[in-house]
Amino acid sequence: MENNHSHSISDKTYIFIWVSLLILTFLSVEASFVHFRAFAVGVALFIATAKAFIVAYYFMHLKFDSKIIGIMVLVTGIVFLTFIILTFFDYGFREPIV
Amino acid sequence: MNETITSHAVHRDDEASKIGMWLFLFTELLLFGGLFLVYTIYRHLNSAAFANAAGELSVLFGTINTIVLITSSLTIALSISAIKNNNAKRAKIMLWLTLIFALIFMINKYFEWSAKIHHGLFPGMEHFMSLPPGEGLFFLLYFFMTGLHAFHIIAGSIFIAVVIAQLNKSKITQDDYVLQENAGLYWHLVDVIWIYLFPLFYLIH
Amino acid sequence: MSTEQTALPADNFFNQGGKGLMSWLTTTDHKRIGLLYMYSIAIFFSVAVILGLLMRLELIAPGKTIMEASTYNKTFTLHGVIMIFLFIIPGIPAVFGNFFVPLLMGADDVAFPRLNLMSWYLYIIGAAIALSTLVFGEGSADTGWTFYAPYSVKTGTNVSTSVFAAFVLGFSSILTGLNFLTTIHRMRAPGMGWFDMPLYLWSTYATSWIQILATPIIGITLLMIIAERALGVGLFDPSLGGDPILYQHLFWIYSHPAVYIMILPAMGVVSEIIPVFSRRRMFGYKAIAFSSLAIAFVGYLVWGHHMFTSGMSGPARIIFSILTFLVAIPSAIKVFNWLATLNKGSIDLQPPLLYSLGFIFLFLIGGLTGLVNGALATNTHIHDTAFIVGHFHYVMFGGTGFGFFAAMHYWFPKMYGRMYNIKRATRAFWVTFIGFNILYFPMFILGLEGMPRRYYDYLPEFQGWQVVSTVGSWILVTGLIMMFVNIIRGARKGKPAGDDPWNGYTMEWETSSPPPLENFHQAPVFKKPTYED
Repeated sequence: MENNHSHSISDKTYIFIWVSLLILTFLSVEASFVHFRAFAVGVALFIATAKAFIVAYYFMHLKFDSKIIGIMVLVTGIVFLTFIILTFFDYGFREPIV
Repeated sequence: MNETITSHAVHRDDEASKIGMWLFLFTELLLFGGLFLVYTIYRHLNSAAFANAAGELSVLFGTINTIVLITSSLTIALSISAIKNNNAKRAKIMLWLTLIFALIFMINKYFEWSAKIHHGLFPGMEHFMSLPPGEGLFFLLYFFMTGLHAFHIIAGSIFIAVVIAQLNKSKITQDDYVLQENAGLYWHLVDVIWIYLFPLFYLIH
Repeated sequence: MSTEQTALPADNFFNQGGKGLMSWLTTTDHKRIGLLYMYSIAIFFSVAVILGLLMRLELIAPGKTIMEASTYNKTFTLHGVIMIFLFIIPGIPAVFGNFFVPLLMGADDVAFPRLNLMSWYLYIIGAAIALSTLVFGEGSADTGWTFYAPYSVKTGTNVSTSVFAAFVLGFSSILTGLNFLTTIHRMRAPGMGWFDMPLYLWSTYATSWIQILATPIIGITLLMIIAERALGVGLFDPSLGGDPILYQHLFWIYSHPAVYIMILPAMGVVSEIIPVFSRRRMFGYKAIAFSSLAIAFVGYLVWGHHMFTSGMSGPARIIFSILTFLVAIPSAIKVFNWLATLNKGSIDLQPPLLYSLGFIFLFLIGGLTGLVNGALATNTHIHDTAFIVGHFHYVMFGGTGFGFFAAMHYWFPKMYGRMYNIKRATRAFWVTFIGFNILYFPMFILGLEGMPRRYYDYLPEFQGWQVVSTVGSWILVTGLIMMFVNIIRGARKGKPAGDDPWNGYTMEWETSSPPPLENFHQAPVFKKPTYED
């Protein structure tokens, strides 16, 4: 059966992934105390997205799954981003209520 | 693309189960997505109030819970590689560890929530009602989103418990472990959502 | 079924898989589940039609005619909730999708048959909760099917229950979509590539993606409304720093794409019917397939056009208006391709084609008036008037409704193995079609003259068109009754139809009518070419 494809990640790699996730977590905690001002949210979300990507790519096996699943994930992400961006076209340009 | 039709009357398609699971995860993502959208807009409208209110949350608690969840993601991933290597015993131990981490997460959450409720910050309580505009929204979203997330932790734990039961009955084996893989996918998703909740609620100063 | 006919194949799914009510309620056969949906949907549709008739009757004269204003508010809310959540959204996908998605691709069932049955139960539970508001609590909701905050949070009526019903129904819809997507990905007959799929499958594929990616947003939004009502404080409360307009955003992020959940399957049905009855291969197969995906995607980008007068920012209004006009492109691609297929075809005007042509005609009017709504300047004039009501009934009823009837008349012989009376079906079509136009066209005129929607009363000068419209509703219902009587009679006493009465060439016609339990007597192999030479 080709269903149970045998590509697997070794336990060592998993532990390496885990350590890198921990490092990123500490990084984002530390970064939150540095005053990046306007960029603070951006930095936090960038690190979070990096972590989410690592989890999806290795832990969730996107690396080895058929490409179609990866495309689906991408489509879902794009659709969600579209929601946020289009909603911001409203709130970003509201006249302040005086 | 075509399947090898096996001799069994009931044909099994692991790839289909996996696609089905992923599609379900997308709906979960967008369920939280709606809340993230609300969060984003309200933080944009009340940025100072959100930063103020976030000061009430403990970065330490949040960080510990993040570490706990990431570690539980590791253990469930290890359990799947154990079953692939036909080591059911180790797979079960790793799943039990995952459940223990889930429990630690929930205990932590319990203390955190009780402290907030003790301060009267639950929506509708007296202190909550006297908060300046915007801060109330922060706590409403905090309780709504972490509450929904905790609900998913419970659902995921039940899923894992089912997988352990199936392992005990040897219904999950080296050749047929897609259920366990799907439980893993679900658990990782719960982790991914927390990965975003953590900086958005705990790390604003 | 009936005993005097023996000509139907004995090994059909009505006979196989057990007899009696319990065998149906526990079935995992996609065909039986499709029929379960059809029977339940027919009941809810009739209820909502009756509510609509009552509303029209109320509007026959100014002032109170047969009901109080508050009753009228509840009536249009329930009419909307039932029609949208219980009829149009599940309509074509759950009935004909369930029955024909596996058949069209030569599969023996959907990917997750038990999940499929669970969707039906969720649907029934949701429906029961929705209807329970009539009996329990403080009366059924009076907010309109849109449940706009802040009124939906403040009103004393039973909004939480109605909203919860919509939440459950959303889950049912998600699971159906999930099932179809997996089925289309994994279960096509050997040899059937993506671009060999019948166009109905393409439209189902696009629809299912919308169901998966948009429905959760309404789910969570409805939960927010429930939380807000339960806690007494809420996310859309301006005194807390919230914004009621955000509710409208969230609502339409789902509900606009949901419009495409409703219309895309109907377009798929028409794309199946037209080539068969003009005896030509589909003109522009790929263009139609891609336009389904394009409609699904662009459908995510246009929700703001429901909110032009809500206080949304100027740039947002302009952007949403521009994006709205984009939807016209893939829709027009479809219409032109259908017409090009008919061109020089040898047209056989059977009832399925009649309904499809009715679809094209009514959808065209609905679509073109949609452009009037989508333009910022004209929208300000007609917002919340009867014009809007006319527009979406042309699109939703004239489009999806007629698409549903077309599918019913096209696939009926496959589902029951019998044929309805063609002459009666044709007559019923004309009565329905004429009644439809008399009912809804006056709404455009009334709307332009300033008649607001959702009002039980109006100025005396509107009465002329209101009476015309009400008379139209009677004609329309007469047509519907003629159609259903004919269909029911056909199912019971019609002549055996044979395996392929329309000379169709998609795979569902290769098996017997009605199909056996696992659809095909031997595993079918897809034969190229179907559409492209």
